[in-house]
Amino acid sequence: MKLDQKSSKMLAYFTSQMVKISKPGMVWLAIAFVFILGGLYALIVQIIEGHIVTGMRDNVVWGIFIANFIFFIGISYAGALISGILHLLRVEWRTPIIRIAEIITVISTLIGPAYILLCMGRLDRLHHLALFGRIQSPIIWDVLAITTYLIGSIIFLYLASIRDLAALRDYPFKSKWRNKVYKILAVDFNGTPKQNRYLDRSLDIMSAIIIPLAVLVHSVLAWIFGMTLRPGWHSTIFAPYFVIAAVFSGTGVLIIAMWVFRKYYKLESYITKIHFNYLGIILMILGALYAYFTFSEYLTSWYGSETWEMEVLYKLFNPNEYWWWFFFAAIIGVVLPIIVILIPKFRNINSITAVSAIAVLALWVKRYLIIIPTLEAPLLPLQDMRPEYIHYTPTLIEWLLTFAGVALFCMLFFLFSKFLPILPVVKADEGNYAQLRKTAMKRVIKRKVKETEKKESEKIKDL
Amino acid sequence: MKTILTLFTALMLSGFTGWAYLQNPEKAPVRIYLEHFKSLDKNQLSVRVLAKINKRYKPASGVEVTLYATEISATQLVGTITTANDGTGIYTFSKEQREVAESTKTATYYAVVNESEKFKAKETKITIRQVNLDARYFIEDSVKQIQVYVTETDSVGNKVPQKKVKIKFLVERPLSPLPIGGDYHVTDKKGSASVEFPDDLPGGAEGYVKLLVRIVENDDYGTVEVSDVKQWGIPTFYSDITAKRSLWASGANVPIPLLIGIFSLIIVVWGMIFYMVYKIFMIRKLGM
Repeated sequence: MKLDQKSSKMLAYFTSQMVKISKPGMVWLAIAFVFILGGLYALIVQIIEGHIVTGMRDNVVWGIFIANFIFFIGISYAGALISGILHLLRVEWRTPIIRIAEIITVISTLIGPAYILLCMGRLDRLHHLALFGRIQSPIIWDVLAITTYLIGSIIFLYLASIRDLAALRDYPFKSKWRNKVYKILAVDFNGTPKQNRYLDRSLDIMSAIIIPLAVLVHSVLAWIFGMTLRPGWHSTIFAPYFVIAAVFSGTGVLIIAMWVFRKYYKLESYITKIHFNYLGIILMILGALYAYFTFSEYLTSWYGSETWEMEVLYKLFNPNEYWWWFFFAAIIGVVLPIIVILIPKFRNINSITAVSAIAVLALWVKRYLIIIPTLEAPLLPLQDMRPEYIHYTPTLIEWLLTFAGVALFCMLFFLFSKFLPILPVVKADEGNYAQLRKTAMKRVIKRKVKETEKKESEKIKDL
Repeated sequence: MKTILTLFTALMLSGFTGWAYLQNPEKAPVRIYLEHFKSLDKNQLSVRVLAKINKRYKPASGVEVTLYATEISATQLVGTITTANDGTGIYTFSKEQREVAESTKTATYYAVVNESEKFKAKETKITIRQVNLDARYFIEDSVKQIQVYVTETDSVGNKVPQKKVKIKFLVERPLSPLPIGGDYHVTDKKGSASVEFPDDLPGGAEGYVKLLVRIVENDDYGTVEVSDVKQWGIPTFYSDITAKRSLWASGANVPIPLLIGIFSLIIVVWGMIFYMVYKIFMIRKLGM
């Protein structure tokens, strides 16, 4: 496939980076590997001894595993919405960030559901879900939606990578396996006008599908809670609230990933301050929306003063229980990013990344606060119960598995960047495509005009 | 850098190994709780075994417990049970064993855990006396009542009333029995205790309820229960709400609009996905 000078230069740079791992990269991989080993150990202990090794009990049946699940599905929004919307709107500055966003989507959608499996007591009965699952249950909708979303995200990433895969296929790698894999994945793409037209059209369709699909997935996830008659969960705004929170955290993770890869691969000339500023502004707007939803949700519950709802609210606002967590999740994690990004004096690449990290952490805490305080406030009063049945505390096993998930996410991301350039190398010739469309439209108009003229002349003849 | 990495990895691994070792100490000390249960149709010995793991006693599963009557010897063997996940196990007496138990005025039972790879040896015993629990169910002035007499039979066959024995009057319910007339009652000098059956308690379709009278975990008698079925409850008609198509019905009775909605969505989205896969094949075909 023929490449222009700029693309060739980028390809040469990235391929040289892809075939080696620097010392900081090795350290990073080693640390991630140790955490993954820790997670594996925790997994084995949990399989052998059962869920008794976790903090989950009969009353608080969900713990940080579910918080992790929502968190990972949330950050998967980065690729789906940001990449999809920017692609459809043909936003010029999107190129350096869409690949990162799409990879975030695929990896987090792979890791997130694994936490659901960790919550299940009898994994040997997993197939019962397909055999005896009730289609009325939002949990079944969730399984269907996430599976579809995962497949859709993989196809979206693949379609957006075909041009680069074709360029990599034609690059003389020493490694045989690379040549073989790139050849298969490049599907004989040579950049002919017709192939380009097919690919662009497919990408347009996929961008249009992935946006509602992502909204649906997170809405369904919210309905698992919202359709349950429990204080703190049974809320009509839970679906849009979850969607906003997901895009908020997804954008935060995208900014962090951009910062990391910019430093690691020295991409300062590609990922510039403008990209951070634009994404920062998106983060700020989403933060404001998220704050509005949070305020609306808790104000309505508080004003209603329903006994059950108040029990959860007292827990959240009690300094001896969850107040400091809540303060961090709902106030610090939202207000700080808004202030830092809003005031130009504070706004720079590092500060935007730092507040993004705070926002992401706050969003994880928020997911914890959605699940645990509600489960600690059961509808039937509990008497003569052991304290661990009423108050949930995550165990070391749960923390090890949580950190292992984060480490696996980082490791897969890093390894992916060694397989495919982290920025799109071959840019789609959208100008030509637009020109082609324009020409096609002109032809259609001409034909229509001719047809109309013919009809009118026939009418005149008849007269 | 390599040295630091090696050290760090070794430290982490040794930490995990040490922790793993602490999770599985060898030969844990055990505690055994033995109880005797007697009802109209069965006699049982129930055992609960706890093992000390990580400085805390937790239910021990898979522990073999040998039960003896009178003394620990092969001739007095009652049976063997293995504890379940919650550390408990129940042994039900055979017909012959039940006849022997009923004819004995005072019985002693032993539960023995022999030393194994995982657990230290331990034994415990209980001694129980035979008690007569006679319940009467009657209606007086439209008031439904249950009266119980607790007696022991002396050496000449006379029934001696037992006072200050805690009695529970219960009605059988799906999850656990429902106490009536308070948590428990205590027998008087005549060995008697009574309770009024409430008028507003739902029963089965024809109003039948199963009434239970129990001496619970008594130091002298263990748990003793008598029961009877009476038509004292309010007849309750249960309609099977899962039989109609509804959100709360079984998977086979999904509301049609929901079914159509979900499957339409699946068909549309997966149709698009398959179309995309087709497009990928088309791209390949064009390049060949």
